[in-house]
Amino acid sequence: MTQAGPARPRGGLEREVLACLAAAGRPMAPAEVQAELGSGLAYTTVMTTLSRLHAKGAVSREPAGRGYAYTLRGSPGAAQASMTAHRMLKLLEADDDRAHVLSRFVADLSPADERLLAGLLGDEDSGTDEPS
Amino acid sequence: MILLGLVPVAASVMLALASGGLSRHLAPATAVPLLTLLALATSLATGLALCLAAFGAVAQLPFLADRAGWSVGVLAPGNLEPGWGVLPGAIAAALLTAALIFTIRAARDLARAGRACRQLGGLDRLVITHDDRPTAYSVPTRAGAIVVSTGMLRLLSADERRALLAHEDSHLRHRHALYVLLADLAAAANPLLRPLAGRVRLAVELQADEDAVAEIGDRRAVARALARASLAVSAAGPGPRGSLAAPAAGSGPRGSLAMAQTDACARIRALTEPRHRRRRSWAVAAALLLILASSTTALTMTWAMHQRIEAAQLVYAQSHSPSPLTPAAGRPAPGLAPPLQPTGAAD
Repeated sequence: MTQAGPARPRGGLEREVLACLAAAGRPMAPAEVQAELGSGLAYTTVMTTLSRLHAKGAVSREPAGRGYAYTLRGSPGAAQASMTAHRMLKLLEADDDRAHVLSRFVADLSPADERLLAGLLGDEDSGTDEPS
Repeated sequence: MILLGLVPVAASVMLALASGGLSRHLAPATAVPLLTLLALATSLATGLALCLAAFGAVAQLPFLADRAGWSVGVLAPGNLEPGWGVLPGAIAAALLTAALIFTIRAARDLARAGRACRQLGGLDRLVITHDDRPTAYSVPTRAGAIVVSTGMLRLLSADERRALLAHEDSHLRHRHALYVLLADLAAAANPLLRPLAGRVRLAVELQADEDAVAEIGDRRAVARALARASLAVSAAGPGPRGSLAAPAAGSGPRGSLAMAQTDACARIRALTEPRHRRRRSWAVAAALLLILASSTTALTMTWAMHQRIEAAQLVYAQSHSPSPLTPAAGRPAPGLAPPLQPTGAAD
């Protein structure tokens, strides 16, 4: 069943599809997902994954053309979820302070590092948008 | 005794200075368990040496010696004077307290992170938060979860997203958080080991990077994902340092492991210049030797102290027995002690 390209861990493809839909932030047809993910995935594989995700309730779908377009479903209590996420980040922030007390160099990028990384990205994707 | 106790201290100093050189020559998959074990062994041995030094000194206090029934004359040679025992005792107490506090906080933070993670739900161990700020981290609960914000996902291309997911998945699969916690605990109990704990943290990231490379088969894509994520997190962070960039940066030690940020440049160098990372078997041998040195020292010291106490009890019992054969009651003359001293405690 595995397609061309290196092996994925179990559940790996489902996660990638979810991440893809989340990144797009709009309904996507299976063909679009397939094109976006690339790496030699067969259409049927993407289709199957999307249906499985739909069955699990992770994505919603609406009729589009002859098939469906899929969107990442916000969890029912989206507001509450985002509050929880915020609380989690607060918690991790607190960690940061304490980790600081225990003295570790927090890897804030130095300007030199930033230049180096930006240069690397510039070489890699000449033309593509750079994160501002 | 005292000199023996300096072995783990010397090992700690050596590691404080040379942990970078040591870990650079280890493959990440080897470095993670080996350096963690090294940190734990050294930390335990140092703590034990301090405790034994303090004990050896305090045990000579007359009222304590009389209570416990051991001869001060036997205990004294090779041990610190009671007055000096305060020093190792205080250090041991402070470090033990630090380790205890670290453990309690880590346990509490882990529990909180786990609770928050359960509330977030998610599917297939992936939690996507609808948030424009770029964040990505994994939460080491029993099932484990990867938390990524839509802001982060939007920045990355499909293969970079795959690299990020594979990287975080590797953290969860290898239980990296456990190693990092243990190494940090060792460093809490022995601050000289902080650089080594930092190396464990880096090794964990390097291993996850290599796992991501193995999964997607493209070193450049992993490096790109890392660079993009680091830059974005760095750019999002200039406000009060606590914006969402910070958790990614500092969460490594406790709650979760961040995708970007820890030693980003060292990791990117490892990804883009893999040939510069030579593996040397002497590094493994050196690490194993240090582990061995620390643990045998700890065992020898404990054993020697045990022998010494038994000898001291014997002398005390002899000198306090009502038998007329015993030459003198009361404290034994110092001359009585040497023949009974255990040979292992030469110092």
